[in-house]
Amino acid sequence: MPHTSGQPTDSGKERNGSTDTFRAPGISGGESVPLAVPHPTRHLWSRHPWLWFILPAIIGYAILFIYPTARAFYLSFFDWSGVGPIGDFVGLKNFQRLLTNDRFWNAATNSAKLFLAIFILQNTVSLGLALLLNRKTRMTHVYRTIIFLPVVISAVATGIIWVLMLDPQIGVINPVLEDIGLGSLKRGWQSDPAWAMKTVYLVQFWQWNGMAVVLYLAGLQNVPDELLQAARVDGANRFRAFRDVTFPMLAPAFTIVTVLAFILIFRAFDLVYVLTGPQGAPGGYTHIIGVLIYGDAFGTSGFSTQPRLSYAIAEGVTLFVFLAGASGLLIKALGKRKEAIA
Amino acid sequence: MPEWNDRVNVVFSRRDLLKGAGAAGTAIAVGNLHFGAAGAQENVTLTIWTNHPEWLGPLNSLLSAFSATTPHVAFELTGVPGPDYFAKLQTALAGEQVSDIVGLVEGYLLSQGPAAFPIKDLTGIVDPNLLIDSARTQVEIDGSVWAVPLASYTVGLAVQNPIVAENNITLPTTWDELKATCQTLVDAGVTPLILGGKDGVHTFFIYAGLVSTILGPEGFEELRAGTRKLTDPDLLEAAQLLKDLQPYYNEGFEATDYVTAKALFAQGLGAMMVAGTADFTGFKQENPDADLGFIPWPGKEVGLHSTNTGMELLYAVNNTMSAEKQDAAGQFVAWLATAEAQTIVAESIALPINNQVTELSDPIKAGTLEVRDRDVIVWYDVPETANTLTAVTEVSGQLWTGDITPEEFAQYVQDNLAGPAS
Repeated sequence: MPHTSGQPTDSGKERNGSTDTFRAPGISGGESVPLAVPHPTRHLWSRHPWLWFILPAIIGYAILFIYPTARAFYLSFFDWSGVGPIGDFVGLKNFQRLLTNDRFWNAATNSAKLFLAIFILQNTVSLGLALLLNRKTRMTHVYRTIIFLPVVISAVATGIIWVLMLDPQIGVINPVLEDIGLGSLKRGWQSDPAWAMKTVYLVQFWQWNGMAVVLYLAGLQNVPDELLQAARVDGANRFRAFRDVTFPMLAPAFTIVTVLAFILIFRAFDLVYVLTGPQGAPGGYTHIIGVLIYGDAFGTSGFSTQPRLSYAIAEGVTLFVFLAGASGLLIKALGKRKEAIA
Repeated sequence: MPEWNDRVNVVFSRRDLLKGAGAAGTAIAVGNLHFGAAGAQENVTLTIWTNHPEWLGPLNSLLSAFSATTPHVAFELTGVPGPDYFAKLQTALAGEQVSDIVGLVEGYLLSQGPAAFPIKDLTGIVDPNLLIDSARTQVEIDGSVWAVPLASYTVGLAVQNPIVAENNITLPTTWDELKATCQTLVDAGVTPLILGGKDGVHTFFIYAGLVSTILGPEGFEELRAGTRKLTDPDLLEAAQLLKDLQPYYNEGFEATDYVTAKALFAQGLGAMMVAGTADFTGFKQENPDADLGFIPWPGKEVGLHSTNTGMELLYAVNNTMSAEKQDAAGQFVAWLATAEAQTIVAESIALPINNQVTELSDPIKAGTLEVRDRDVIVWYDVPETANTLTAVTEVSGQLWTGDITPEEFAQYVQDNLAGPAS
């Protein structure tokens, strides 16, 4: 094929020792004209100029995420308190220690319980609220705002408010129960092992309910009215219409709500830390994995504690691997469900 | 699109970028040298952190007193709430962004060793002979002096004087009297003991205090040496008493945090509370009218009472800053150990660490010094028992819920005296 652009190609280029040469089209034999051929890397940037646009983001991502993550993996194999020179290489000892540590498994179990509780509440209460708010009334926007409000309140502020309300001595919840004739329900909400974790479920759900409601609302608004009308024409009552038409159509929202809840709960820290403290009071019954990692990394009080940063990093790495793997499986499983419905 | 490609190559060639970056870096470096040199001849501003934001006023007065005699030195003081301080310090050390005057947490210097920190050797600058023994042992390592504590504190029981008077209580001096006093108060409808059990810090101080009454200073040295154990039968009694006092703590104490517990006590919602000297400033801020007293931990028998004394932040000099700033910071730290500085500390902050300052105007501080005749160092100040606070906080909640026995509690702490057993 004749070469007309004047640019070097494989057909018009030949090696002459270490120097690239260019033979003009139509010229046979004779002289070769030396030419500086673009370096392969430079050629890549020339052919794909859009790479320049994403370069800052790639650099930022590498500096702020990839490098710290790789560094965390590296440090988890050492014995290091967090200050001074990095200590001895200990291989997998930190991982071995945490996997045989009751406190780690207790926190992991509590995190799993918290996720399960939030999963159930989001797919019952939040979904129910979304169905109610999907109706068009004069007050719909007001209700939506009220329900979403806790999401925008700082988790720390939320925690402090609830701690004060639940306090058995200065809180308002027990006196209110007393005043409305439900004094028998008064209890140490946060100090009673039987109720402390349930209190955490409630407060965590109170804060994130609005997010699930909004996601489900968005899903509900994508359910075509024609389908619901057709179901009703076919004699389906409200429940059947919801079960067989609306709910299947909510599959994408269900996936998002579930995966988000999974990730948010397993890396939850601030709200639970404020609510039940660095040791998951009482007696570790509310200790979750995020709080455990923070305590091991930076100590559990303002007094002199012995930090175990590399051990805490190993806990973080374990959580990272678990979340990445489990989230992938979750998305895959829920994706199959979506495909089946489609 | 050759034109676009050419343009990109021209504008963003690697060589151009490197040249530009090099030129900019050189300009910045030259600029810094110029302004740095000019600034050092004039004034020096030193950054310093405190883990007691409630002390910002008194600390500023202390710093001003130094600046009055050394006008070219100014300070930038930052208050970091106690529970956040350790995380901030550790992160700053790892990121090489620590303050000019480094406030090390007590015990940290001994357990980690001076080489772990970017601090200057202050031997020959600070006179260690000015320091009380418990302060000196914290900052003098292998003959070198590395820091000066801001102040010291002593832990025992804070008492609400009006409640004691109203209920005709005689302050307890033995364990039996303590239990009897608590029962009398409960019968009168008063909460005998305020405890913030949420993070386990108060629990640690009560446990350490009760064990210290049995050990005394000599016995504590045996614990450090490993010849005494927290599981020894007589020491187990302290863990048992800690549990036996559970009915006398405030309702919901298991989930009450440190700060809320202090507020409850300051407001008179309980008769007694574990407290250190530094806590009294907070009590007064919460309730300026609070009428408070201080007693040592009652002993198993009369005369075996005890207190625990520790150090506030150990101030050292950051050795990564300019020589001028290091000199200025060294001057300040040396001055901090003097009677002049420690008189200010004693009047407005906590107990002095200068051995010449013994006359205190504050009645609670003066009373503390009077009852500090059988004193044991705060356990986490020394490497052999450095991990006891962490260990107690990890399992104290389970002691309250009944998931572990006092014996198992003591065993866990013993197994983790200096670090995790595993």
